[in-house]
Amino acid sequence: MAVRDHIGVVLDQFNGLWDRGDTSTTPRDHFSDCNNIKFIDSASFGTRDGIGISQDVLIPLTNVKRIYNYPTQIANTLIALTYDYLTDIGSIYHVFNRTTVYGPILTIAGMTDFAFIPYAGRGYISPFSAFAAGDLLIDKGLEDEFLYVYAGNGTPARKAAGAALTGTMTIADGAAGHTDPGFHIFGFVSETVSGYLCPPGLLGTFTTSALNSVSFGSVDASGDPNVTKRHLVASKVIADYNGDPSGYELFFVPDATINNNTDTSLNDISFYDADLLDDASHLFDNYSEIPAGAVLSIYHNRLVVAATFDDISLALVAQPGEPEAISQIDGLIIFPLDGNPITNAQELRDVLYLFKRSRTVAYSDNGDVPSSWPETVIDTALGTSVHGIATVLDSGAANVDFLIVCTYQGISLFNGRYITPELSWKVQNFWKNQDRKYFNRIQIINAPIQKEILTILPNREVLVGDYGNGMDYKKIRWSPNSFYMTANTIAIANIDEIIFGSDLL
Amino acid sequence: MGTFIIRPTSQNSGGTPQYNSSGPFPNDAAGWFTEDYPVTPLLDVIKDTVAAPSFLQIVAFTDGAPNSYDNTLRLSFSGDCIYLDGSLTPISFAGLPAGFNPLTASIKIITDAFINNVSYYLQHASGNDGTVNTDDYPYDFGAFPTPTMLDIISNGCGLRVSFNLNIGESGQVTGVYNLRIEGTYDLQAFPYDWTNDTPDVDPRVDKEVTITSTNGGLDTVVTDDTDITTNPNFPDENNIFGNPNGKWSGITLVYGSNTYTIPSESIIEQTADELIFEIDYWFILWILLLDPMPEKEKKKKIEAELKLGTRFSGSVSLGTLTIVIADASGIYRFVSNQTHDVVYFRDGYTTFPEQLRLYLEDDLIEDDFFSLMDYPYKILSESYMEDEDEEDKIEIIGLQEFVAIPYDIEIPTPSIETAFTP
Repeated sequence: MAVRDHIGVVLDQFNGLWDRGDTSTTPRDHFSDCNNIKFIDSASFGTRDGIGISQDVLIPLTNVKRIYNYPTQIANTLIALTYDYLTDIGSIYHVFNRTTVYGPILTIAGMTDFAFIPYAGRGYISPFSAFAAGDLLIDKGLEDEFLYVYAGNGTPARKAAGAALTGTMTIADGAAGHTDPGFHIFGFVSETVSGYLCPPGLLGTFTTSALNSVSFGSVDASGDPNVTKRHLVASKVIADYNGDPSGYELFFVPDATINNNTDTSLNDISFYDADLLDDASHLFDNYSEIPAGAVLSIYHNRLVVAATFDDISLALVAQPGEPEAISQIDGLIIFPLDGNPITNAQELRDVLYLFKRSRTVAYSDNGDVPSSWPETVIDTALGTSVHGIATVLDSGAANVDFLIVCTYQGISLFNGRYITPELSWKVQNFWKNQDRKYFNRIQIINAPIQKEILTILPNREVLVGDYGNGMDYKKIRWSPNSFYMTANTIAIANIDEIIFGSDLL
Repeated sequence: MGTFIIRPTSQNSGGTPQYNSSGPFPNDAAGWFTEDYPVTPLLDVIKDTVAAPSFLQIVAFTDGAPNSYDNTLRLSFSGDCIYLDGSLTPISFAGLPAGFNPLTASIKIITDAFINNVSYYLQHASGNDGTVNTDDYPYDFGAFPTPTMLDIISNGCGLRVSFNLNIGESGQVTGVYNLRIEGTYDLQAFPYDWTNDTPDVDPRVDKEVTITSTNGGLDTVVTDDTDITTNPNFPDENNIFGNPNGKWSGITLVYGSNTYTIPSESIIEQTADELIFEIDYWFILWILLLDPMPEKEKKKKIEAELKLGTRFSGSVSLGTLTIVIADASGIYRFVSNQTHDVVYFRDGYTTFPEQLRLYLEDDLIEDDFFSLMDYPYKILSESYMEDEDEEDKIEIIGLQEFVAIPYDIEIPTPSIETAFTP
């Protein structure tokens, strides 16, 4: 047949990578292989955009392992973890802008990753790492490490929560005043700069007089320099004391606060038992040091920490509005045990979803303590990894309508159940050829301005999904991207600036 | 120019002697015969430089039915089998002097007498027969590719005997001995020099190294050795510094006691006078796997011995190549409509005075992991800084760090394949 008799095949649609089944089944409007391309409008493609350096400083950060977006009260910034292979030390820096870096704000041996959640302008940091468990790597909090809180102003991060005051105070009748006469227990609750109320300490007993106020001396300052106040707490009159000062309800005494961490006395406090309304007893049950976990999230204004070193199936849930106040008694959720750690936690439509690598369970806030929240198993085959849920824009939070979740099956939309076919249906082979052992390297973001989903892969390249033509499994266009260096982490800053971090290895 | 002789060291197949030639021979006999079989092995007989007392015979009789015989004696060379310039002490292939280059080589044998009806052939590689009934079978050094000493050694040698006798016929070759390879050689001189495309700066990944020779010979450097199907580089867990082509060159970088073989795809250009190759990223990964915690002073520069393997024996050292491990790690951002990548390029040191280091007295170092550090310092999150008593222990020390500048590179191989392209 002569060449002139051939009818040309027009290729005018370029819908990205197709890696599903045999190569010969690749549709004409898809690529059987591609690299470093971007999609222009609805039917064109070109070489991907170049990358540029993000830091304009003489000595930029090296060996970047993890980056999070950190919105402070005055700017949209980044929190970055670097790792020194020589010393096995991870260091966290606050990248304020292209020319300003604070830190290191936290330096911990063995910290190869960290969880981060911004809250009320502060940042909560939980150091973790991957540990070998047979052929798998499991991510959990570092042993003997804790949750840290960072003020956002360049000062070093400190351990969250705090211990009770210790020492022995003196209690005596003060000047003329009033109390309900009788046997009372007194103590002090210290308050840190982040608003955390420590368990009552300096507990002592005293029998008050009806016509006298009460004065307190030798009120030792807290050894924690972050304590800014010390509140007086007291019991109501006790008729028959059993000798255990922590066995009675204690209440905050109104207008009885030492507004510093230096004064050692509080004098002439008058109160009636009827004034004691604000309970302080629950503070006894709180963690004074919150163990580090691999997961941090926010649900109904409560901080959630999960996958600690010793309890990989345990989630710790704080009081609403008090991120450091976690009860050791009823602030716990136990994910069904299967030998795998909790890997992620996200709120979606008022429900808290906890994930393991191949399981998803939902918990609903019933208004009572977290340990009473009912559990619903969503999926017993699909779950995700520690960074496997797409955040949207630079909010660090999931989109309100759905989550984009990286599972072993593929990249899936989740709206309370996993939607099939998965979003990565067209590149099924590509996804399943990724090394499952290193799924903890996956980090995914959703950039709605660019209409792209970007995923750090286990091989440390980037998979870009362009959904400009629609967010469904048929219309999304996939393209792997590679760089001179390997990519470890990805985030969005300043609404639409896609940031990624790389290291030497 | 010198001479060499290679004598066989082992018998691989064929030619079990059948009878002691002192007779009597059976009526229908054909095969190899030696004087004192089995006392003297056939190998020793055929390579002996003298005929007596145990020379090999090839004999055939038939009184009855027609008799045919076709058998090949295969011998190989290994270990100390090469005699240079008349020396009586053999050396091995690896012991050949650098630059050893064979000019001629021929398989030879001595046959004292030939009687009709027998055909014999000398062999190079198995099945490669020389001219019938000829005691000399030379290698063709005019052909391409030119035989190398390694080829000659690897081929071994052989003697094939073949005949068909009718009733009453006989055939014989007597006094078969001194099977060997003889040849001549010279030693190539290597006036090589090398440079990189940024002469004032040590080479790094993706930079080219150019080797030049005023005496030619660079075209003999192996640049596409497909015979090696396994990755010669060790260690290589998960084949992370494998080479998609699976082809390896004769250029090696020796780091410590380990040798890294440059993949063939890193060879850019090769002529007799010039060879250009690129330092690949896999070499850096290989170095870091071998030496994951290099000394702090050396972690950015690696010294490796550059060697050329040629079609001659051995390899030639060209000297020490200092390669910089380019650390491009850091925080990057996508830039719309930018047509190239910009990466951090770290080179040179600066003293960074803003680093705060605390000088600690002994009692403060003991209780934590800081004692493992190679210099004393403490994390700033501790509260010790608040303690006035500690102020006299504070010392600001300048710390050397690598300066980074922006460096433009191409976007790595943007590509597509459709179902219509191979």
